[in-house]
Amino acid sequence: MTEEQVLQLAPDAASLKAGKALAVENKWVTLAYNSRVLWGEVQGSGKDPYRTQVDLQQTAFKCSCPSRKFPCKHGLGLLILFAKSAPAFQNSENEPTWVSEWVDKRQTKAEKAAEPAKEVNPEQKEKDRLKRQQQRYQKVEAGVGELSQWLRDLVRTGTLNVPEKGYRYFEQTAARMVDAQATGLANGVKAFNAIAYTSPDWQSQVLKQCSQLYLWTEAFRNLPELSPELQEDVKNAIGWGRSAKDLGPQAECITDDWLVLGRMSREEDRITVQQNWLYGYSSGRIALVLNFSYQNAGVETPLVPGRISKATLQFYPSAFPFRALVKEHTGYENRYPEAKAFQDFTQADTFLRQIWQQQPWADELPLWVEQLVLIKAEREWLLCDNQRQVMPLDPAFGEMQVFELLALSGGQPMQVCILHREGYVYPLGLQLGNSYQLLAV
Amino acid sequence: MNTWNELVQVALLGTEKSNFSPESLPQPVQTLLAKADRQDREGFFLTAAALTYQYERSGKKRAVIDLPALTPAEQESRSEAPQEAIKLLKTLLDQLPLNATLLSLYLQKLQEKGWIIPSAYLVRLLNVNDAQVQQFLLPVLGKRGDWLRSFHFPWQRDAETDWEKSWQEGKVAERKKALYAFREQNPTLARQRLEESWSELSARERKELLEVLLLNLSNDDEAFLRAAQQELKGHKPLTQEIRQLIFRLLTLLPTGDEQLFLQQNLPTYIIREKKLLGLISTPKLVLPEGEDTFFSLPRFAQDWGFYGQNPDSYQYQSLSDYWFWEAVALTNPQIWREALKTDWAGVVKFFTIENAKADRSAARYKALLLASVRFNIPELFVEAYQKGVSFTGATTFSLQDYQLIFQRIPFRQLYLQKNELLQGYWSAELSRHIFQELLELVKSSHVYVDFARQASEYWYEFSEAEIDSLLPADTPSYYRSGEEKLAAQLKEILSLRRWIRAL
Repeated sequence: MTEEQVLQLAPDAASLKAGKALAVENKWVTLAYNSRVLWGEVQGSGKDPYRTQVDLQQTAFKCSCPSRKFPCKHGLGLLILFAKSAPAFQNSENEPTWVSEWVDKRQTKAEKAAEPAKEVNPEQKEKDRLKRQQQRYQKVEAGVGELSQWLRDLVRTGTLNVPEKGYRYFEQTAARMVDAQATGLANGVKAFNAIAYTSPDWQSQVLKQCSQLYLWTEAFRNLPELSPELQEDVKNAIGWGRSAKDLGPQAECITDDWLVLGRMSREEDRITVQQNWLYGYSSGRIALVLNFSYQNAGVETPLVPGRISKATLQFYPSAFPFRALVKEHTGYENRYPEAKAFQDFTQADTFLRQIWQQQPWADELPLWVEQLVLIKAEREWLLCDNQRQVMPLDPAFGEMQVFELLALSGGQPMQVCILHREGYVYPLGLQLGNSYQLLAV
Repeated sequence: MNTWNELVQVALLGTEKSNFSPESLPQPVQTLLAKADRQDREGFFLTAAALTYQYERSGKKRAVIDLPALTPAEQESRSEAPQEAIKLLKTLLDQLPLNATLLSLYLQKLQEKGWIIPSAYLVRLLNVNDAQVQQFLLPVLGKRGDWLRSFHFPWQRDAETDWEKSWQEGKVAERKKALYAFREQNPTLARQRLEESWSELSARERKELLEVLLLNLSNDDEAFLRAAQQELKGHKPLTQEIRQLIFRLLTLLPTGDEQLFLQQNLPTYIIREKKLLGLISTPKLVLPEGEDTFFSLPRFAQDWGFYGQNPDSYQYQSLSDYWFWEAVALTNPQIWREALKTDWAGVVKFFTIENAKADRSAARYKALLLASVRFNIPELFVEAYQKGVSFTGATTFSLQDYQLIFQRIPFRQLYLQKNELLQGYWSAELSRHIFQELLELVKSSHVYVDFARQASEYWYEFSEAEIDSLLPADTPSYYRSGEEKLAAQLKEILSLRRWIRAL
């Protein structure tokens, strides 16, 4: 693992800073590793040194320090130090008990999770499940009806005064959707509060949001007429949570070398949602792995941005299977082959159209495009393909990131992985010789 | 206007006030819309909007632009720094705070080797806000780095034009920096610029920018300072600060009346006390309890801008004591050698031990140190500084005070008086001495750890064991973390310096 990749694992800037400060050999009392685990002891503010461990197979952390951050600064420091100065670590097969106990326990747990769960009274369980499903369905149905009427009222009286309605107006409607167990719809209503009402196109954004929400409500009303996959998509959009347990044995699994193209995290009501976009080299598939954590608790995931994971991804049923979870992770690959990229934006758009035909809500999709160059139109930077077609860069992609991209490319055409987002592109990384260069997110 | 915009207009006014006609919608949308219920006016409109949005999104053609492509960077003839050098660069850039001295040494080494900075580090290095680093960075940027600089104005600045722009358009902090730069190059021109914009400045800006005149202060500045002093009205706190600042500046003029006035009056408070039937006479500092003809409220508070009440009864015995030490800090200390007929050690001893209780010595040390810096008498500084630190709690200078001190006396020169400075780096003895001084200082504040970094270039090449052996064994645990931090800092500096040399 490279140092840059380790840095991506930090839960926040403060942990990263502290972790870097600890990545100095003389701060550690012991430093050792073997093929499955890395461990060290570091003197903290306590009487005894803290015991820090990193599972190298799954990139998981454990530390005896009292920090609630995950990984803590000691875990990060240990892994950064290993990335930059591996010879400082003693190669040892003799793991201390505190190390072997933890790693063995993790392995046992992983094996147990892989075993099929024992069913206790499956008939009763199924009966309960159906009952719960029915109850929820009725609640959501009522919520969908209410929202549909709310949207009608909005367009009947006109959207001109939407900016004056105020924050609480949308929050109250969103709260009613939460009561109706339709959190997806609630988020859709809250999105009205995120619109910049000072921007020249707010009117368009308001109508887009109204029509999008209406599409969901109508899709839900027509649910039985939709294909089972699209039903899943609609339910997911409305707010039915998806968990690993919902994935039956028939769920699509793809084993591949998955490059973690990029990662972004956002906060939603004190929950950190971590998005990981992946690309499978053999299958050519793209995937999104979401991880969740409460406040700063951190996420335990073997995925490392910019690194190739040898893994099996299990895809959630969808008209366009994209969201997935890591079913099995067997290690990392250090060889970076070239990805199958679209020759230009026209080809990429054709691909997007195919997806939208199947699943109209799909967005934030990673796409590899060849021969892209940066050009500047007045104050705005654009990505230009070899047909002179341009896409504006996402405003969230800062000026310094543009300069990073310029520095790496030297102005030459490059194969870039872009995240397609509603009219903009956000460069996640680029192929640089035999490696993938992650752009700072 | 396209179809979507027409829908937006309908939505703005509302379906009850504006007519929506689906006939203008694209044919495929109309075909799908035929299945919707037209009687449900709002539902029908929202369906039309949803379909049109999807239709337009899917059929959107990318804009084709005719702008010229960027001219790519020229092919590089020099080779990039090798892996080992990159690894070291990463380590240096990860240092918090960044060690600009070591980074500069590293960049010089790259230049010596004929290597250039790898592309992935160009932006980070160009953003390092340190003039010395930027100076050494330019020769190793390579063709790509030079090309990259052309895209971002702050990276291409040439000192003169940039300062001009900062002065014209910048905020007060940037203007202050620019004024410092002008003052360094041409003190008269800098003062004229300040004078030109004086009437437009706010009180806070005036105070900030006036401070710049301390640099290269000369008698040429007097007329402006006197005019500014005359112009001051009222006694608001900020006005008082400006008033005091102007007074300080006037006092520090090489041949100013204020300096002369202080030099004539201050020594009169030292009286000779006769002992042993008049055979021995010893000097004694006697300050008035209340006001007198010199220590008067109109002079010190109203004219010169000092407080009209004793601001700290712990530090100062009386109001006149406070004024006296403010004045001492502004007066050429040579008068004390003459008045007391003693050397610098004697002056320090007289004021801080013989005529002050230990708990009131801090202000006295500070005044003597500031005077030593202002009148460039390092010998006095060293005396006051070294004696000062031997009193617990006496060294309570702010970092700002230290910055002022180091502007005039570089850290390494502090010890030049008594120690030998070897060419290029400090001797073992000198390094040990400074390290031990710093060990004392870190007891009061971890800020002093930074001094080890300031001197990164000079430290003697101690081994780690030698550094450990310099740590006192009997330090109470609450002081230990500062000492350990300092030792770790020095070890790291030396290890990085060795690494740079070995490239």
